[in-house]
Amino acid sequence: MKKIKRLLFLSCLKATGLIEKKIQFGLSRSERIRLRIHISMCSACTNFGSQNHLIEGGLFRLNDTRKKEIDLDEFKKSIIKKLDQ
Amino acid sequence: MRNHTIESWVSQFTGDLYHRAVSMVSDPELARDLVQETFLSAIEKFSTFRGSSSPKTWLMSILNHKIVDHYRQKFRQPILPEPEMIDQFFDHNGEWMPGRQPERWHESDENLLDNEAFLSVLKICMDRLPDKWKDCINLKYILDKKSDEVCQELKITTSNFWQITHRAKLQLRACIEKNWLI
Repeated sequence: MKKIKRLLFLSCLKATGLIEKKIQFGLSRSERIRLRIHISMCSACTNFGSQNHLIEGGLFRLNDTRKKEIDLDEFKKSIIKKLDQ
Repeated sequence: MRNHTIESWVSQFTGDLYHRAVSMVSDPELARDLVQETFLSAIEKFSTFRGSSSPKTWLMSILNHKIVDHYRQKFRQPILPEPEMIDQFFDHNGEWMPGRQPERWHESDENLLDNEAFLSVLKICMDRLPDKWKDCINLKYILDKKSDEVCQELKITTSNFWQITHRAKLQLRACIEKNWLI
């Protein structure tokens, strides 16, 4: 019985992998169906999915606010000095 | 003539180039080097600048090549997912290990994204990831490209890419849960 279950249904390892694959590249039709069945039965992977989605959103925020200030005038001078060499 | 033009470009465009570079490599020192190299290349290639694009566009395209080169170098060694890392989370049947199943977070909606505490924990957890894993996750934002385009640029396979980000996300999620008071 366990064997059949494993053939038909995804393990949690595979399911979380597909959740990530879906975000990055999208899924094939059969992957989508198998993932949907798994998610409907597994609360841990459901939580993983929604948290993964939040983490993606957070990463987008972080990358948005990463620009840093430097002393531009000093930097420009150092470039020009390099170019003259 | 040539050096004079480039010098005026340095004073006009250094800021824009630097901001682009630092947002792409997230390392100020490296960003400075890349901008500097961009101007050095501009001097070398000055005769190929036709004036059909603006100087800023031309310089940006040189910079972009340098950035992609930087990542390509870094990814030349294949990145292999570490199989033993998976054992922390899943048993040999691929089911969650007892105690490792993701629990519900109290705040689980989009409000979390405005929560400074959440974002700073996320940042700390990101910094703990292995370097290349971090890059895989960040690159599509950094290069402002889709994941499959990132794979093409870096010459890595799509399945290698999502297997890495899958592991990175497992690690990140667990780290957030551990370090963030829910």
